[in-house]
Amino acid sequence: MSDYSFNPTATRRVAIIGGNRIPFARSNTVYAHDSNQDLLVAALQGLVDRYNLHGQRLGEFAAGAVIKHSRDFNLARESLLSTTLSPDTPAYDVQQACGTGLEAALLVANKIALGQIDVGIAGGADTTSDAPIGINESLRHTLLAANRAKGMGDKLKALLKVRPSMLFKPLLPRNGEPRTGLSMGEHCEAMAQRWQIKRLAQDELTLTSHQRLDAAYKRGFFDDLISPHRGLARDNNLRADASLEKLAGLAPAYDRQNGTLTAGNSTPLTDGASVVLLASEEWAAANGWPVLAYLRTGETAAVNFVDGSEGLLMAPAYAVPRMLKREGLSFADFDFFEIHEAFAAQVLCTLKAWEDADYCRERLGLEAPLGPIDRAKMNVNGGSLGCGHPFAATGGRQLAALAKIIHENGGGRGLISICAAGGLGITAIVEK
Amino acid sequence: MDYVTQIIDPPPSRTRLLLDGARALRKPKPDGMPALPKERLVRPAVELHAADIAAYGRACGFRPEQGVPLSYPHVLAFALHLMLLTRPSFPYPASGMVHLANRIRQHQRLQAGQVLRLEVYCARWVAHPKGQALSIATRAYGAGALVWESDSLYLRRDVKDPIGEPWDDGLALQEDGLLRTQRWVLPADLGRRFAHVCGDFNPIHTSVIGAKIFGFRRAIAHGMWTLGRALAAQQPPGGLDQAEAHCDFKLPIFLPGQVALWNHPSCGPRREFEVRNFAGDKPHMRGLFIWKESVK
Repeated sequence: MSDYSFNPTATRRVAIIGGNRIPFARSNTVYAHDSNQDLLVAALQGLVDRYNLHGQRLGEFAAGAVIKHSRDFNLARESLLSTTLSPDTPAYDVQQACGTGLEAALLVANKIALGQIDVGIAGGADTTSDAPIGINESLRHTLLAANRAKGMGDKLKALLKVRPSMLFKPLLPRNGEPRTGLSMGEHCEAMAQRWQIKRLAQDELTLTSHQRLDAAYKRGFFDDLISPHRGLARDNNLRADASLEKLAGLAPAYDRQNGTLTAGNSTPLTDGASVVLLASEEWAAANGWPVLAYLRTGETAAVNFVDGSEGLLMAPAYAVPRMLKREGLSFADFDFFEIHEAFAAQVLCTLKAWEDADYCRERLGLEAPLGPIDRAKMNVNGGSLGCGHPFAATGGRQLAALAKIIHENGGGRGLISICAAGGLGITAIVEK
Repeated sequence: MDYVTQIIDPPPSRTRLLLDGARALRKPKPDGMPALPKERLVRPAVELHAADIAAYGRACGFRPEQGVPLSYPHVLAFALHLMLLTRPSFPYPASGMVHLANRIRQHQRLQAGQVLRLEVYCARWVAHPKGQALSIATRAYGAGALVWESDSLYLRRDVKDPIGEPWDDGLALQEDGLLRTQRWVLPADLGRRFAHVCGDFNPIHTSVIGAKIFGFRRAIAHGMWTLGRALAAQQPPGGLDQAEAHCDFKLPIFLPGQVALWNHPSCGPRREFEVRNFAGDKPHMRGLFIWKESVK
């Protein structure tokens, strides 16, 4: 007989109770002096206030940031200690590039589903205003060598290798894929050329994102999803007066001659944070909170972009059909689609891929194309192009908003899809 | 051609090579038909040191899981190349020789700790439109078997009526559809760093002043660095058994700077590639990298 005793009971449904985020701010604007922790605390405290969680010990808080200082090794735990949640609530950090927020939610959800915890919070924060600047690599190696050296003489000898030039060449965070040296915009530009995505189509998608986000603000959709921060009440990337003419006037940002990606149809560097409250149905009922929707499942995928055989941001194209097959669903079963808009071109490449019979057969192993997505159902309250994209905060933003859309709709099913650096993609299904 | 084998042991020091290089800056014009040197320079037992391979790998961007870089044994033979080029019997001044092209063939997997016998000799004349070219052969034997070989083509410009077989770059590459797949940012001290791992301290690579003396506005990257970087970018993990790399050196890469790798995505174990400036309108290297996929 084996002494293996892990015997999980049937899984439980995971309820999305609500979410909270701070308005997203373009890099080096309103939140220029906020750290990741400041932003995460603001979002988390707003959620605690809204759902009256003061002093409560929750199952866990999972969150992360993509651009992180080494001192933020315990970002989630440190943030939690600055809120009015019970300090007895455990926390841990998650990091999966732009998939961080949604991956954190899946981790918490899976524990709830397995009965290990009853309630938890998932989230993420990112600031590129307060980015880490490292000391020069040569200086760092020299200092480490001095640290290893035994005795004052050897230490001094090691330190003699410090050169003044080392002090003026710090290590800056790079906006590029480590294995290709190309920026994400350059990768996406290549995808746009491969899929022949027109500039106009990108600008139209961008305009829709701004217009729908503006409309959502105007009808009060975000009133119970956002807590103002530093005097900012709505995302400052939002251009209510955006127009196709203005967008058409922008110069290509990554390929000056033949490019179609601009500062308008690409998301800017953004600061912000978001969190989502997840619980079992029992916990929701016991605490008197309605269930907005259920987080049914998730799927991650990765593609080999290093040798150029697939586009950097195409992994969601693979994750979605795998998830649909596993769950026995098709696009016709969905009422809403929340597709993260890193670049308008990346969304359009993915949509085109799902309609392309050859691609679906050869790359995705599907007998028939996945089919088109009704744009009226996609990003109905705007997307990242409108509100901006603080990397780790996007998943939480989408999850809370989609749950609320489904709740307002009186039920339905929605799909979330996020592309991420490193050829990663993460997707999820939300329904009620 | 009958060669006179000369065993080189121990290898020459860096100072010795630089002095020989300086002495070979000028040479009297050969009377009548130039002749290829008859020496075959041999190092009987050169060990592939893991630490040296790692340092070379770091300089070119190889990852440890890629095994011994295909271009690495070239480094071990560099001193022999320079000795041959600076010999009194070599018909032209060493500093005027332009490294035009290189072909590398590996017949067996190389391992750290392995001991190789290296042989370097002038193999043949090549008639190039721009002057007289000649090929220097490098052969590496392990336990008596040829495991790795390289042919380096050097050009002496402006020699009229060159002799030998006509030049054929052999790289009829499909330029259409090449895509920019990588960006390489090259620091100002790249030449100095690579010199320390490859032994080539030619001042055109290691200092601005040195480069200016020889007519370049800035220091230029080693051609063999560019080849190493390109192989590192495309070599699969797990090491190579049989493989080939061909490259033609085009415009020099000035340091500091940035260049890009252009190739055909996902074309399996046969990679046609170019290294160009980032905009893609100036070629620095054109190459072909082929490997035999090992049976798993």
